[in-house]
Amino acid sequence: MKDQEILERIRKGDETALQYLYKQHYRMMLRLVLKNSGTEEEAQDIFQDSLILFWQKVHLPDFQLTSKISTFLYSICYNLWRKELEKKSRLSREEKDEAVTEDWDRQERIQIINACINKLGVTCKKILQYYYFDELSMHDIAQVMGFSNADTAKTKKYKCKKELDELIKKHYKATDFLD
Amino acid sequence: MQDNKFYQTDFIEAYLKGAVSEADKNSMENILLADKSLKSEVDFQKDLIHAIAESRKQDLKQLLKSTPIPTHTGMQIPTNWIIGGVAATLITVIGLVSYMKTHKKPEISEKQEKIVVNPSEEKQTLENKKQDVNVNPQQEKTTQNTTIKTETPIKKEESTSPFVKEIHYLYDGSGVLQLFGDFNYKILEKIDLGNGVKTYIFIQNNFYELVPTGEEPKILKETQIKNPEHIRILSEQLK
Repeated sequence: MKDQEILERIRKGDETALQYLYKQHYRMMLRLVLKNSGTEEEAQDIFQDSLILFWQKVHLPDFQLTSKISTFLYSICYNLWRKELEKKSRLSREEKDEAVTEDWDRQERIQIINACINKLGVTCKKILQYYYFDELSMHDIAQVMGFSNADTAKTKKYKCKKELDELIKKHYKATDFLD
Repeated sequence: MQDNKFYQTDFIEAYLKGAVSEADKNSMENILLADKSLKSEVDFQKDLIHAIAESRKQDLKQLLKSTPIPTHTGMQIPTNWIIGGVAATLITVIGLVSYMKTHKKPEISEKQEKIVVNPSEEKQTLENKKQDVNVNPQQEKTTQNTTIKTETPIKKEESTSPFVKEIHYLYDGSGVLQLFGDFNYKILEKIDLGNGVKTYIFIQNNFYELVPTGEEPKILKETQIKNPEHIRILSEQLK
């Protein structure tokens, strides 16, 4: 598969393109991490995160690939692994407690919201994910979800978001979030 | 006041995405300083979008974890195997080992218990499969009545993928073997090579021990029999 085709497929929300990249470049990223004090498990984790980041970037409206995908992925993976090593180094210098307690309240709030997201139906969850994370257009969401047109996708997105808002606010008082 | 655009969810979302004009952004930030309630709503929407994004990331991560990958030794191992991601045809060998029989070593064809998991799926016998391995004609009898079931894979690998060459299997240790890929093989049951009675498989001119895998598929290569004396004994069993 050529780079341009991969990009097009990712832009349309085709997850198999991501799997293709994972298999295609896994060995390269594995070598990178193994040669830099990492384990195979860490390599998998970092490369998976790199691909998710790549997926996100490709969906940005102003994204332009100025190198080969493999080069771009390598640089993401390299940077993520470098940050991970720095993080490990910091933690080993007894800063662990600080990192764990950072913004605990917000983490808890997000966990509560997550629970509500999981209460949504699969369709609603997907629509909201495609809209807020993948930043797919309503036209693309309609295509991926098999809706008749972009207007249908827009209406459904509105309803799903409303449902989620209500679900959260119904279960938890506004003050839980407002404080 | 609250009817103006700065209080609309659409505007708040656009603001959080950074998709508003510089002037609107500045106005919004001034309002947020003065209106605690709006600030809370914006924080809530921010967390909501963040949580949706995180859930999507988790889904994508799970997808990648389920994708078979090559290890540094050149083998393909799925971190979390999903049948839908299996490269080639999934062949289920049913009734491989029967505990209904005694310690005698009758022909496998006589002692196998055939279990039909899904009668609607295509069945065929091994005798219909073309042999491309170097096996004597008599060897056919060891597995000729073994019932196999072929399932159409949900997803196919890229044709250029090198990963389909490795042989993965699932074996429950009590009668059900799944081979991931379309291979010709011979089952050798209840063979004692001096380390207990075990089951072996002859495939692509090599012998392998079938070790119960649990839920994670294993690579057959890991259990290849390399001891010449063991290979000789197993070869005898093929005759």
